[in-house]
Amino acid sequence: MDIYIAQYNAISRYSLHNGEIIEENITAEPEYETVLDPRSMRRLSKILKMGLYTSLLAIRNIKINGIICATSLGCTYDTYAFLNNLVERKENLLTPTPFIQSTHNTLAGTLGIITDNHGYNMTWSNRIFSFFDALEDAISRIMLKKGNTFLVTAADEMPENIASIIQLMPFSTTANLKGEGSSSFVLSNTYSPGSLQILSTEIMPISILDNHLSQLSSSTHIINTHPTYKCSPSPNHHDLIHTTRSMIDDAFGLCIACQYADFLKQDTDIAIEIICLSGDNENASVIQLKK
Amino acid sequence: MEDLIQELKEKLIAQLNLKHLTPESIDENEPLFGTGLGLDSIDALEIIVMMENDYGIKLDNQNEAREVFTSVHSIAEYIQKHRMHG
Amino acid sequence: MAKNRVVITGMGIYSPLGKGLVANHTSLYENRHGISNISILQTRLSDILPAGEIKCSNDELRAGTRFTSNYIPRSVLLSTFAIEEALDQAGLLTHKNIDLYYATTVGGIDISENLVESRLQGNEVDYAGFQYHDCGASSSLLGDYYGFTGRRYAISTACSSSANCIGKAAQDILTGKSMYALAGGADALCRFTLNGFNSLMILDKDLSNPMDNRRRGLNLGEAAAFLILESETNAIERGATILGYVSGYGNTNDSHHQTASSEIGIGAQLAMCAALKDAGLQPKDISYINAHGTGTINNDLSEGNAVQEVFEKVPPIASTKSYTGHTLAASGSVEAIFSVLSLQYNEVYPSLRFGEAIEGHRFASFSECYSTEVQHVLSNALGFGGNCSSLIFSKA
Repeated sequence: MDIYIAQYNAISRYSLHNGEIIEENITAEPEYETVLDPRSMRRLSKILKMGLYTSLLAIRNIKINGIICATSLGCTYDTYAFLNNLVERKENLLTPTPFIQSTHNTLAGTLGIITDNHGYNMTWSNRIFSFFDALEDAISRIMLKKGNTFLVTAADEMPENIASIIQLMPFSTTANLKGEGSSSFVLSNTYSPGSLQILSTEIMPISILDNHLSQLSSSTHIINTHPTYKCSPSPNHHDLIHTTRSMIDDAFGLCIACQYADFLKQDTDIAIEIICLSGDNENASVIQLKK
Repeated sequence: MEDLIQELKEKLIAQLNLKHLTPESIDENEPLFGTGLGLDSIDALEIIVMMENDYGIKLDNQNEAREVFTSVHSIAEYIQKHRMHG
Repeated sequence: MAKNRVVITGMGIYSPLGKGLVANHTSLYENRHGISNISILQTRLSDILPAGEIKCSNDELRAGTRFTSNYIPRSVLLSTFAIEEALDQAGLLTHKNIDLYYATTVGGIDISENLVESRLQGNEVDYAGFQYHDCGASSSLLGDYYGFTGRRYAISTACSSSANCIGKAAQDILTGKSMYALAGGADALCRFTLNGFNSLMILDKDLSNPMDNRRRGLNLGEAAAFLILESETNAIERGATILGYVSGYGNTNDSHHQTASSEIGIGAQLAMCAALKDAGLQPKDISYINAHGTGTINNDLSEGNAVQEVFEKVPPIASTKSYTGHTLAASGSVEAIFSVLSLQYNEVYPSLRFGEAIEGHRFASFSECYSTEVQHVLSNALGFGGNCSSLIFSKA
């Protein structure tokens, strides 16, 4: 069974202009009112607004069988707001809204409500592998014939106070600064013109990554969002990480891969092969794509 | 009573994040829940907290709150009544 | 060729009923709950709200592990005992190629909340203490602690988290993606959740009365519980003792409200039906339902409505949260273990303190443990965000 990315959307600091991948220092926010109901937006934290926005755009005109979300740090704004309230009011009379919205699965749950979807609903939260695990989950659901189409959305927010806490931590962790955003994909077993196919997903030790990549054809493009690993110099190899990063950069990388494949396909009928790379100090996640 | 109603409108807008509204746009007799302003059960909890924090009035559960909170006017009346006894 | 099945070969638990399977089973059998006044967690609410608290400080817990840092989350410390027991029972203590499916809702927030308090009060803060705050940190810590070389996953779907870990692990065993899966979760009491649930006005100031018309709310609890899953073929080949089968899993969303269930419990209905279909069973095959049964007005009404919609004749149904309190992310795996104990001992565990059926329900729970033939147990886990998961466990 073949798996395709039918539609996608992202709020990301990466964009593609004439085949060149541009990274901004900050993630530009869209006008949410064009997609989200202004009345219900009033309570929403940034991660929820971003996640809902890209998800609703990605699923436009598509019926989905389930919703799978990924987040590395979850709803940090509301978590901190509730803690703030707890400390200030010394555990007296706390307002419930930030607590209600602090659970990691708030985005997935809210999407379920808005789309009236009673299907499979899951939230993965495992640092730099959150999105990869969610993607594999969607693929697995389709392969097990539990559905034909699944939404996968990765979202993370980085409010000021959380960013400042992370900056004060004495050593670098895989958490990082200001790379907030949201990236949504609809995975389907149905091909439609323009769909990028996911050929494989793999985790492998960093130690064998060089060898693995060297066996690819030289025309394969690599979109690399691994925090430390650098590809060998080549016009097809794009190392995307700059000083700003986030633990869901691989989701933004996949979105760029989709746009890049679209761009390249304008000029050729030959199959485009792309690899998306991410991971941590020990392991790399490798997604193989074809258009 | 007029001052209290104005104050309540401002507090509701602030507490419930009703940024798209102004005190002038809220009718004091308009239903708060369901139709009208369209508030929900989470807002009811927030109003309970506001009543206790700002007016010292304790409501024991959400159901009691929904009966009191039919409109801005009904909340104002409830506060006035309980303030007199408080 | 017979369809390969997923078996449970190890279980481990540390709950308010005690440390280990024997302690937990004894308490269940003897109708003895583990809910008390909060004495370990420092909170203004300790006088007001009873909870299923494990009476061990973090220092005491840590002393029984190889961890030395004060910043290791309490939920991770609890997990080490539970994981060790599960690995031991499965005969896998020295085995490294294990995939970890870990569930938590609050991760290391028990540590972070104290650090945030210091920060807000302008006191000195050791920011290194935040390093284990996120969910993935727990999974990583435990994977490293045991030297697991397999995949490490972390699922966070509120109260259905560990049920989803078990369900997902079972599916990966069936597809061959995983050979040995350690699935379960942990959550510890902390001021964040205590105050959070209190702000929703759904906590009971007394011992809770799940499944009862007089119910007033839930008691929180803390626990760690894990199961070892593998294929039946593999277990037989290596001579492992099979404790039970994971025969069905359903995951759906109620899609009604972030913190409340729809009155008809559509999400729960669909999850139970999906689990039954997955198991190839009919409602009449279920011997016992371990309900999510938190004791809140909303959940127990809604879940009961869902149950009686799916089950023409409702089997014995009860909530063991009357024993442990609501252990949040761990509740799925805690109650999975209780379900397997039910199968092993042919016993059904009650809703302690039950007295009066819920108005509108045509069935009633029961208040004391009793013996009966148990072939298949259905266990529900219904979380915030409308996440509904149902698991079916079958006799070995």
